[in-house]
Parts: sequence; C-alpha cells; structure tokens
Amino acid sequence: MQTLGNVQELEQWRRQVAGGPLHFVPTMGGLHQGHQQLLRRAAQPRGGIRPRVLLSVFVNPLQFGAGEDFERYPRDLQRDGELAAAAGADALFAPGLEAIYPHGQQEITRIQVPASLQRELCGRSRPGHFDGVATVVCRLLALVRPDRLLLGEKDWQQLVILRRVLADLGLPVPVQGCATVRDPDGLPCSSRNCYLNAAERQRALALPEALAQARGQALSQPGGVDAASLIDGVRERLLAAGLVVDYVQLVRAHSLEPLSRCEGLSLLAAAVRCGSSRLIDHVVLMSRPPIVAIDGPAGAGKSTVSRAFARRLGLVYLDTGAMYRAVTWWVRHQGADPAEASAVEPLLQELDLRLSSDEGEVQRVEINGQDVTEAIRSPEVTALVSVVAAHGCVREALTRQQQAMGARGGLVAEGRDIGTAVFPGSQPTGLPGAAAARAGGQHRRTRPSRFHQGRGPPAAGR
Amino acid sequence: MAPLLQADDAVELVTDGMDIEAVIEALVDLFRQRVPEEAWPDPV
Repeated sequence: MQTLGNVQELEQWRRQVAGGPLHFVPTMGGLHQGHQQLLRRAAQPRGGIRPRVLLSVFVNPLQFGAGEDFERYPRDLQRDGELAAAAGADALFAPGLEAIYPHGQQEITRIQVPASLQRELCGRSRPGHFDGVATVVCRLLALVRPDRLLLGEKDWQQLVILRRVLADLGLPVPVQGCATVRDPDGLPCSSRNCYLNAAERQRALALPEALAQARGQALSQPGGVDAASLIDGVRERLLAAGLVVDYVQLVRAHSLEPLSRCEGLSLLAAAVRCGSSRLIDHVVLMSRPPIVAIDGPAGAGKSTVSRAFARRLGLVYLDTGAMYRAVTWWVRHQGADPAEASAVEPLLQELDLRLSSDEGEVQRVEINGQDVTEAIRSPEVTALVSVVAAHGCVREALTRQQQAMGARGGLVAEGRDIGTAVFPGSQPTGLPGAAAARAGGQHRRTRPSRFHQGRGPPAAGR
Repeated sequence: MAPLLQADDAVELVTDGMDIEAVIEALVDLFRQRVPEEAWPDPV
C-alpha cells in the first residue's frame, strides 16, 4: 500500500492506476473495524473488475466546533496505514492542511448544507459541523475524482446530507452506505471510543441497549408506535445509566423531519456524553419490508433482471407465471377438469400460495403446504396453464394471493403485474402498456419504482 | 385491467449499452439509496 502525502503524489498514483475504477473511503483516521469493513466493501469486484481502493486520513478542522475534540482526536498514521493495508486499501492519502485548504481554512469556498437537513439530531448541537463535512468531502472528491464513495450508515445524518449535497451539485459519484459495525459488546465502532475508560465503556453500553429495547417495543406494536413513548423510554434508560443525553429523536430516515409516530422508514437516534466522549447511535425502523416494482418495455430482460435483483437483496420475486402453474398443478392434483370454471372455482377456496427465496437459484413454490417447485415445471402442467389461467376466478384468486404477499412485503414485482388492482392503497407504477411497447425498439429502460412502505407490522434493523 | 401509471417517486434508469450485471448493480444502488443495509441487510 502506498502512502500519498500531498496532491502531487496523489496525482502521480492516479496516473499509475488510470483506466480502472477507483473507490474512495474518506476518514479522519483513528481507524477501527468499521473503517476496515468500508475498505473491504470498497475492494469488492463490480462487474468482474476489482477496483482500486483509496482512503484518505485528514482530521478536518472545519467540522469541529469550539471546545470540541479537534486537538486530541486520535492521530496515528502508522497504525492507520497497517489497518488500511490489512483491509485491502491500495493507497492512503494523508494530506496536510495546506493541501486541502491552500489559502487557509478561512479562505476556502464553503458548502452550505440545506437547513432542513441539519435542523435536527447532531446538526442541532453541532452548528456548522455538516457544512464543514460537506466542504471537505467536496474538496477531497475534486482531488481524488473517484468512481464511488463509501460511507458508514453509523453517521446516518452525514450520509443523508452528503448524498443530497452531491446530488445538488450534480457530482456523478454514487454513494454506497454500509451498515454500522459493532464491537462484540454492542457498542458501535467509533474513533471516539478510545476516550472511554473501562467503567465509562460499561455505562456507554446503555446507548445501544436502550435503542435495541425501543426497537423491540416498536416491533411489538404493529399499528405504529407513538414517538413520545419510544423517546421517553430511551431517555430514561440513558439517564439511569448515568449518561448525559444530548438528544433522543425519531425522524424520517431520508428527510430527517421529526415524527410523532413510527411510519415508513424512520430513524430513532440518540447522542450522549459519557465521560469526555460524545457518542451517537441509532436504530432504523421500517413499517414493512420493501416492495420494489420494476417496469420497462417488453423484451428488455425485465424478468431476468428482476429475478437476479431479488436474489441479490434477499427479496421474493413475484413470479406470477409460477403462481398460475401452481394453481394448474393443484387443479390436476385434485382431479378436476381444468377446462370447467365451475370445477376449478371450489378448489380456490382458502388457497394458500407461497413463494420463498433461499440461497439457491430457484425460488421455492408452495401451494396449500406442498412444495411444488419442481412439479410445476412438468410438461403436463405446461400444457394446461393457459386453460386454467383463462378462468376469471383463477385470476381473482391470484390477485388476492398477490395482495397477501404485498401486505407481507419483501418483494420485487414487475410493473405489469402490479397496480391499484393488486396493491390497493399503494401508488400504481410503471408505464402504460402501449407506451412501453412503443418504446421497446428504441430504448431498454428498467423502471424501479417506489419502495412501498405501508402500515404492516414493522420490521427493523440496527 | 387498471391502467398503469408511473409512481410519483419512480426512478428511471436508462439502461442503453449496459449489460445485465451493470443493470442489476445500478438497481441495487437505487434500492440502497432508499433502504439502508441496517433496515434490510443483504442476504448472508
């Protein structure tokens, strides 16, 4: 791994590695397992190509307020270099102040983050902090010119803000957020954890514990839980552990607006002082597993893409073809005449059709408790599917099944399969069929649509 | 059949010239802009 101490060395290294993708992890040093995970993720091949990974180590004075820990922030470049190299970094950029702010930090052109995104959470108690973060990250992006930026979800507000800043400035750098990494005791990895002595660390554990408890409370109340009761519960537990509470807030995950009840995707976040450290942590609450609708012109490989996309994210692909096949198999299995609607209809009472994803290439299909994954591919079923699918009662029954699956969430559907008819209460999606067909010859477009967040039982992560 | 309309928050991905793997990766990026790993982790 090379260490690059100034802009000239960075330029030289960029020329050496020109041609391939460059992934970038900006840090302030004090590396820990969370940073190492970002570096490992940055090094993962995309499209069969292993990118170069650069991390920067720069303790940015602009993002520290008066009386904060700029002076004593951990600085150990040798140790950082070892940890970065072990995690697969190709180069470490450790610029001096003059490289980042050539005319001094007062003279640099600054980025001003929208007020709405820094009104709550850490923005409230650290005025100017996120402007300083955005300014240095933009400066670093201009110097490094990476193809991808990796940031931790741990600093959620920072991630939301930087995504917005890059979008607003039209900087074409995809931002990849990576889940918080925690130590075995549950405390999220942070460079500032090194300030904690053993007793303080023990007390600090109340932070992740209180948030996890609140998450459990939210999960147990599928109707949506009141923000005040969650917040008060967390605050009490933090105070009981002897922590000084800066804030406990429930906000919308993307707009960061305060919420009075859990809805959609929300963030329950807290900041505390413990000894001389300021610590932050959060849990993400989701009212229902996501639903993704993908639409596009016929012949664009939508099914292939949708299936692979679903598998990659652990979502179920709403395979309507397999559902019709399963009903056809059931009709045959029951010995009914597939051509007679009156014979088929009674077999659809209390139909229970389930699709499930697993590690394999093929989704499992179950009908009324029987695994028919392979059976539905038989020539006998293939020959009869169109006959069975022609019955109105079959289409209605399958629409009900799809609604039930939509309520459970966690699916990928092709646009033509969903709409108000299948998922009432959610926005229909996609292109009118005729328009899609017309566009077919000229463009291949895939339209992922809204990630429907309904009022179903909450699912949560942390 | 109900007519299908594009949702207000639909995102258009122009896939001209992209191979299937690139399209899937772009969709995963779009998904991850909305759904953090902490809410819906990648399968192990």
